[in-house]
Amino acid sequence: MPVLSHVPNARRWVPVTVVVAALLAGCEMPLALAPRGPAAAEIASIWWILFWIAVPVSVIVFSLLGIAIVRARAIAREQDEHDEHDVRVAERLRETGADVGLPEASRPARVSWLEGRTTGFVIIGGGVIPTLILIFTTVMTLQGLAVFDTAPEDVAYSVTARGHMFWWQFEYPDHGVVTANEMHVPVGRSVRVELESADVIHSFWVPQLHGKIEMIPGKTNVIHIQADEAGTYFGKCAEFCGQQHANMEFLVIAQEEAEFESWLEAQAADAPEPTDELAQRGRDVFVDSQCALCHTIRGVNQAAPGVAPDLTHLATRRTLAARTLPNVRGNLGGWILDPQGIKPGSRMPAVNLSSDEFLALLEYLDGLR
Amino acid sequence: MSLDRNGFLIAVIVFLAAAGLAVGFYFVGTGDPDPAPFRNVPGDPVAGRIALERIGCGSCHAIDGVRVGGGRVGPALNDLRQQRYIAGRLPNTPDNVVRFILDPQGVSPGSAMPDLRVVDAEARNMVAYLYTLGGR
Amino acid sequence: MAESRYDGYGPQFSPPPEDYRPDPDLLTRTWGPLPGIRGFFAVVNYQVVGMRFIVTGFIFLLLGGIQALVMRTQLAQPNLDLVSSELYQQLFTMHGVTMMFFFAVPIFEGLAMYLLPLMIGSRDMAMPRLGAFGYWIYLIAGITLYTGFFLGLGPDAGWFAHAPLSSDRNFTPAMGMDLWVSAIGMLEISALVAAIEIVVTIFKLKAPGMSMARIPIFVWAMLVMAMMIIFAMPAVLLVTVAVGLDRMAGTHFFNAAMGGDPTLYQHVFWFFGHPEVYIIFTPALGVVSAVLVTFARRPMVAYSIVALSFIAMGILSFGVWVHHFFAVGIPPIGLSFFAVASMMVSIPSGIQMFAFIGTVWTGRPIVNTPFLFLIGFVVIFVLGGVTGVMLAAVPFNWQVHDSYFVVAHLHYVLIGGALFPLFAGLYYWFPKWTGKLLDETLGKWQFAIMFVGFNVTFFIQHILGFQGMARRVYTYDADLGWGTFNMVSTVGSFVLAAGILVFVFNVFWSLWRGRDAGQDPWLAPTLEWSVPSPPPQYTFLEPPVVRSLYPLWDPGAPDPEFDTAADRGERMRPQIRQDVRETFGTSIMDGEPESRVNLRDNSLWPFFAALAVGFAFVGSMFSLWFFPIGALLFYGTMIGWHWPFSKEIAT
Repeated sequence: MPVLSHVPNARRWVPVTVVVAALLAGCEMPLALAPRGPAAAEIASIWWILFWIAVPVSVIVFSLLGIAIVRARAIAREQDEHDEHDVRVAERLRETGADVGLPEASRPARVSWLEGRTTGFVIIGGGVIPTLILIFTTVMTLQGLAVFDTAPEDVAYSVTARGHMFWWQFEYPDHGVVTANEMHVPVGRSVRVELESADVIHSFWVPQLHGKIEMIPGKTNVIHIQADEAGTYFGKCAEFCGQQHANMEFLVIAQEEAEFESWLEAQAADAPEPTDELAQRGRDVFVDSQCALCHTIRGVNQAAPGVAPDLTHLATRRTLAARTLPNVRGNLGGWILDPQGIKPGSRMPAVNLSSDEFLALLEYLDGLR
Repeated sequence: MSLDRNGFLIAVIVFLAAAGLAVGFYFVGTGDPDPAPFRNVPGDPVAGRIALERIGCGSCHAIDGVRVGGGRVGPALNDLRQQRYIAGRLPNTPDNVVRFILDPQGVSPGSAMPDLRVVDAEARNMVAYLYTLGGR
Repeated sequence: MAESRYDGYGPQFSPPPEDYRPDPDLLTRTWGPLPGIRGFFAVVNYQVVGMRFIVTGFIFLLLGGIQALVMRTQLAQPNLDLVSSELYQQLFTMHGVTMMFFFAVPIFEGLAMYLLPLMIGSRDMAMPRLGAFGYWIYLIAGITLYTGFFLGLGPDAGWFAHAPLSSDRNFTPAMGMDLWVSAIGMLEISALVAAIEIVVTIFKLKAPGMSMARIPIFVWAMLVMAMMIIFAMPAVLLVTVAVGLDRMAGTHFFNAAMGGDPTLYQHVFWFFGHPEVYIIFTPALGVVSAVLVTFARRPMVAYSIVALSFIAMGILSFGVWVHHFFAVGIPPIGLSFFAVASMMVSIPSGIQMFAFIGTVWTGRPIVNTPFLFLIGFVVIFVLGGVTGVMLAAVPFNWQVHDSYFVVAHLHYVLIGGALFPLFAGLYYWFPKWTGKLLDETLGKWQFAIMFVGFNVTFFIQHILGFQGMARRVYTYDADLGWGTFNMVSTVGSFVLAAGILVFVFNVFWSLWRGRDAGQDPWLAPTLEWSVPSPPPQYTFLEPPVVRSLYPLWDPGAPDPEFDTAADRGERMRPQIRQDVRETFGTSIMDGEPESRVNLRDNSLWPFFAALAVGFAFVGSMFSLWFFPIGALLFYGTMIGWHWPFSKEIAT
């Protein structure tokens, strides 16, 4: 096991700077508090209520503690000197190096107002008041849950999102579209997302659109997401799923509905026929090499389903390897030749190709628009 | 008998400050290079670094400041300046490197280096950046 | 001896010997260790075993801390490659396993073991050999785990190791998870035996007169902790065995394709996992109570309400496990139930906080190092508590679950709720253990450095969670904008670590040059301060009796009207033999002296038994056949362990 290795540290400049733009647009608010959809907005509103409860509660508790210390020490200083116990303790503690307010000359003893009322203080302050606050937060939580439990009425589209180690498959079953690491949705329409897993537990999280819901093998979870603004939203696997959990990210791309429809149509088509000779040779390389065992290019081959991303329209995607690399020619070449160097532990093996084969394959894949 | 507390506390503060500074310096990272053109290479190294990243050179080559991936496919370019020959065929001059970037198959047929469709000005900027590396 | 009865209080009491006098030399011979290297392995004395737990636990704290620093350094900037993704996943798994299982639980058990006999007036724990056995298993488990880690085979599926990632060799082919199963299995046994010992000791070995209403709050906390361990640990033992079987024997508990259920793992694991948090937090509250009473120079206000709140917390914490996985897709009715329960579990904590504040308010507080750590505890823990309530709000939980918000929350709760109290306790009891005071100035500096470092490290992580940073990522992109906050957090973590280093230095310095503590440097109220520092091996020259909640502040006097348990204990005291290991056995509720309890003495068998268990568990990583063989070896050692040839029974 290499202790130090080259790490996929691509992507520092992903051309998808929309993420950053979204950050700035949200008045510097972090993603979860800059919601762009009703579900995330509901959550953000719950957060702000909780936050404005938490601040005064903390401040009050800290103040009480501070006041208690200051008052009690003031009283200790003024304490009647014949309180021998306190004098004895204080003197002894001073020997240990403690900073002790030693009782001074005889003065009338002062008693804290709390003396004799402590049980009431504890029960009311620590029990009754928190209970009232918690009843409020509980009701709010249950109301929030009810919101999430109600399915929206006009669900326009349905997507099956399937988590794999370490990439995402998005299938639009009504339209015959299968793509990877990039989910397109129409703006302002509710989309039903069925969450499944092919191997271990993953978690589907788009902070600006929805909280996270896990993808569990043998189980289908359903959420509804809606993006209210066109844009590109950052998505992440949130449940640790193995070595490349960190590089299992995706993008949600919200488009106007017409644009989205034409995207669907384009994606449903078979892969374009290569026109030039080099790309045609590349297609043959693809079919004859290991690539075709796992990757499907519709119109060219049919690999075992769900093993690796569908490459039919690879060149239209913004990123490679679950948002590990921006999808540009140079990165595509590097990713084909050395996936384990770029994303150690990913399921894509290195393929041995001669430089001729490689250049042809790159030409072909780069043209899969 | 008693501990020289002040001395110790000064030591603690110095230690903390040193640790903080060390961590800070360690991660200051590779900033943009000196923008002054190096050795008559015409081109802007700052723009060159950005171009190297945008084109994806780093997924095959190890380049300081452009670390994208494994860098295990092509040769490391961090000491390109000291190299006598490039692509196994041409003497190492900025112009020849630019030529190779623009048309790898033409310069070195059979190489796995693909034509990344770089335009001339961009290639010059990239070479300018590469020539700032190494030997510092 | 059997023929006589004394005052009608049980057949075991014979008339006192005529020439009774406390004999320190005889007691030292009776309670002392065996000579030589054999003595090292055979010793069962609670002070030695307890201190071994504490020191070993602290070493694990340092190891886990180093792992954390490596991780923080890796995350300081985007796209660093200080450690590989492979090593990183082992690091965070080891960090979690170390801190949760190998540091927090054992060190508080060690505190309990060392302090309970002193506080309740017994001469040892109830089952000294079991305690020693627990320690040896703990040590073997720790050595096993770290040997694997240093060989590059550390567990790599996170400390809670959700199935099927952990349970299927296709997903985690390395031996790390087998190691996790073995090490955690052994550690659970260690925790369970220690818990049983603690419960029995508290129930049966209290000093005469120490009714349940007179046990220090610390003892209540330890009792609740031990009870929780007894109920929680079997769940995790069960689930680790199931993972082990899935990996090694080809069962399919968690394999959905074969009809298993991955969420089953989470239910069983977190049925342990949530109480685990309180298993760590409750004893820390006990430490807080003990330290607070001494330095507030007033009795705890609302003693019985606080004791009840511990019990309530212990029970409620078993009803909230689902809030660790609200996101797996649970029907709304289930979510509602567990949301409500999760909110409720914070009420006992509210009561405790207000009892602490009330005690300070009516007290005459002395603001020294232990007290500063108490203040730090309240501040940090309250912040962790309010984020805990937020996490109970299910929709909000979905947003921040498994993100750095949760990382921040759990460190606030665990470092604030356990580490700060632990340091308060270490400063408080160090003089009792060693006879030397820890340096006060260094202590204040340690507190300041740790408090600042902690908050710098973790507060900002709340925001990182909102920014979309999931936990357990080994690197991240620059364009996500997480770099600055991560850098701040990393710098903070080094400051926090510097605080711990100050403590380590303080310990060595104070052992070497520290001020002599004397028997009772703080004028504290509880029984441990009535014996010399460090305590003699026999602990009490004469078994003490107790007439009040704070016996050293208010010793009380014999009651001429009623013959109390304490009075009877005082009269029976001479009958506790000094030539064999004996102490009072008393009734659970009233501390009525009932019997003389024979405690087993030094023996090598607990060590051998632990070796047999280690053989079974470590071997099972390679072949399941090691398990039955180890079990047979273990039964063999049990014969030696229980062989009644010592003079205890012969009399």
